[in-house]
Amino acid sequence: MTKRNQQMHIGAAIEETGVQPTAWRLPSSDSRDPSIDHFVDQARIAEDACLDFIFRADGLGVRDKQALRGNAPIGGFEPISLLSALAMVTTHIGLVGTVSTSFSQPYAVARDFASLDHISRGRAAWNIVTSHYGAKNFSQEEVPIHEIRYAIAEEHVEACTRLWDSWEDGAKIFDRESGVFADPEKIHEINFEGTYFQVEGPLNISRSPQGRPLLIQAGSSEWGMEFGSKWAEVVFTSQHDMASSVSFYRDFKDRVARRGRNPEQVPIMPGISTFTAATEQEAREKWLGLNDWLDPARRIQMVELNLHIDLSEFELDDVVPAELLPPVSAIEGHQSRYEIYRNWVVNDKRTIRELAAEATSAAGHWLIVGSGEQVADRLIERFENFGADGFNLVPAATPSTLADFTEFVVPILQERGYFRTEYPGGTLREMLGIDRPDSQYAS
Amino acid sequence: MTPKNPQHLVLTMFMTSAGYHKDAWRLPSTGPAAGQSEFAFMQDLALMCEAAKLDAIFFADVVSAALLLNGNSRGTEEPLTMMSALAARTERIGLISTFSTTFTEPYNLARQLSGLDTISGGRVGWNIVTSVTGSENFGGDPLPSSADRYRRATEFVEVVSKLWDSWSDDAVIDDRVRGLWLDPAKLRAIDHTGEFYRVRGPLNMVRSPQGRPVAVQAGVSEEGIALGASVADAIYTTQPEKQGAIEFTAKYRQRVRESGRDPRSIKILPGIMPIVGRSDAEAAEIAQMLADNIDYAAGKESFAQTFDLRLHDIDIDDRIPSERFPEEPGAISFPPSRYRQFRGYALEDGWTLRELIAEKSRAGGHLWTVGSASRIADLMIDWFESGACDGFNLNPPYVLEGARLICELLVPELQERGYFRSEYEGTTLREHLGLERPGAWDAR
Repeated sequence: MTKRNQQMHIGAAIEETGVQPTAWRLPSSDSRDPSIDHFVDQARIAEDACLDFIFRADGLGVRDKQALRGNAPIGGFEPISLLSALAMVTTHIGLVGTVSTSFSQPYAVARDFASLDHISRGRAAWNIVTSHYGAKNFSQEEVPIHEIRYAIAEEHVEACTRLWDSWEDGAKIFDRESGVFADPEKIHEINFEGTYFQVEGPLNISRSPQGRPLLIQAGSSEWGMEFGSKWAEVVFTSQHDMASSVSFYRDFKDRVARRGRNPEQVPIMPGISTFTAATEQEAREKWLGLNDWLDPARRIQMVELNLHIDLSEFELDDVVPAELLPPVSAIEGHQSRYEIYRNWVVNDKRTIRELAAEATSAAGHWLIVGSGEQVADRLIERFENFGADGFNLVPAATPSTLADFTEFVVPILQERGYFRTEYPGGTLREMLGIDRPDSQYAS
Repeated sequence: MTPKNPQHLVLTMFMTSAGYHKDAWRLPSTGPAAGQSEFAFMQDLALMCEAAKLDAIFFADVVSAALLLNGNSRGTEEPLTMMSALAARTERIGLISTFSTTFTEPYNLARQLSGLDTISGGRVGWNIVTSVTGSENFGGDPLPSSADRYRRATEFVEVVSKLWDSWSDDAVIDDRVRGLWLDPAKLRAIDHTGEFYRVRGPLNMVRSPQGRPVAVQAGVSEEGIALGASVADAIYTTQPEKQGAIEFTAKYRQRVRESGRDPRSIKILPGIMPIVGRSDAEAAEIAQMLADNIDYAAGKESFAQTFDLRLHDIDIDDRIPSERFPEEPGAISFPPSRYRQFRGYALEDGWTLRELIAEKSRAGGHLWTVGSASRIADLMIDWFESGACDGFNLNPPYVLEGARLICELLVPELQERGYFRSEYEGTTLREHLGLERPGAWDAR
């Protein structure tokens, strides 16, 4: 295998108890009291291992029926406030927060991320999502259809980038002698007139260290890829096998190139869920041990969530008949994830028990169970074959998944030259090798 | 925990990276030092306030660059991020900020403030405003009338409060053996349907340490007082005269009583700018230095713009003719109460334009006072003992030094005389203010 001449990037989601729905029941979980200290621990573990960023996902309502029934924890933190606090206990690591474009205003979002970028000295990134849930908490009956959601997102992000550009570099003069606070020639109204948003600007905060906070996007649907190829500077995706990874990677980078952007500056970072230990046997025990907590009904419900049909008539060892599954285009939200599950049923004839193990342990991402060496091998293989530029770790259980990954996998990646051993210093853009944009208003 | 001593003032600090006094940023000693970030500077100020055991720091906020570009800036901070970061660097001091009800969604704001209340261990306060600027950045439609904005604000606060109460305090049972993290009977949808909002709920967050963040309100219109009297824990107000403050406070407590609440449970906090010196003479020198720093030409323009007046042909040392200062304010972006206050100075008290500009530049119409710590403490204690207020929002004329004189001279003077705490009694902002913690939906 020829070695690529760059290193991989690794991010890690930070979570209350982990994406495995029963992880909170582990003795090591901190589910009783949603304390900031728990997130501080995760941030420090990630920074000690020189990871590129921590990532805070978000949702705009209590979505999971299980949560309403009391069987799963509900989060206690909102990304902007959480990351601002974590900026104070970290120095180098990037701070990625999800904010939906569906129920927010560009002026407020642009301000929040610009300020986080200032406070953290250039470490802020926005994971742009559209919401397929939550309308009823925002005075709406239903979320708009896919196309409209992305059209709103398109305008939202366009308005935000213009707001970030509305102060050119050096606009803040702060000349005490003349009394000139800011150079009016370098501060611009943006006069954005869209269908969904009208924003005059300028922003009321100066241009931040990264120029614009970094933009991240996930979504492997056609719409998502079109949107992402235009705006995303880092791409999140769910890709399970080598073939689909490589094909997604090529497709996406081609789209980026066709838009006149440099594909090398748009790292693709699929999600991974790892169970790792000193030996494969121990890793498997950790994985299976976690699944033991799940009762059969719960496992079936996890699969229902991903297949979008009622499975109450089925047993764990049944294979769902393919004809019951709706076509991919009929699904609103998480389309690409549905397609993966649909293929497992239709092509691989996986049982509900097998689907449940995937669903519960990996939140739809690539599940890797093995020794540190084995996990590192698989990541390197994917990386070297241009199936990924790095990976985003989605922890099944916190803080143990992340701690195991940094203990058993990261050192091997470092020894083999695939991962940094110290921070280079500078902004998140610099760490990821992504150029700082000029203001579009600069003459 | 010892309860808050009722003989103690409530003191909060207005946060600014330059100074409350207009043009203070032009003084060489103000603002971040070379190479220091604005955040690091604000942190210095916050830590200074915490060392003085102040109840809270307070961020005013607008969602527009208009004031900034007119030279009226007192800073460019975004409060949610700033307070969250400061929460990680402080331990006890309350964190209050303005958030508008006009340009955001109740579900979003309820989450942000609840999350921050948890992060900070229960130190958050929300200054509820309806916004008079910023519509150009949020759709561009003209702002609704004040009455409509307050109807919306009243419903907004109702929704947010219901969301904060949607989890019972003991909802989380964390029964790992049975696999029951919360008792589903303790979590309730709010199913709110009103004139402006339809919100199902519940909130997707555990109830925060204070239950609900502390509510602050500052409106003095009829609608503003109605809202404040029914929901606010504290009131920020502009009261330049003691007698007026006594009447305002009495009237406000009466309104609170009429809302069925305990009138002592609301804290009336006028703004004050204490220009403190080690002696009266030194304080006078500082006041003079600040006044000399005012750019009167720009101040005249800003005065005309703020109050929507035509003043270009009026000499700075002349008075404004009464026909130029009409009884009713035009379509202005400043509270009408402040308009009437300055109109009174101009027409009834006969102040010159220069004096008006100086007054507005100094404290924006708030009470200000110049003197030694002992002299200023006399005034503050007199107001407190006369029933004019429960404490003050301190507007530092210039920072850090002006704020340091407040924290290191004036506050110790108040402590020595038994009018301010020497140690925090509790850990939450509610405890600092001596307020009850409200129960959730199932505790009423």
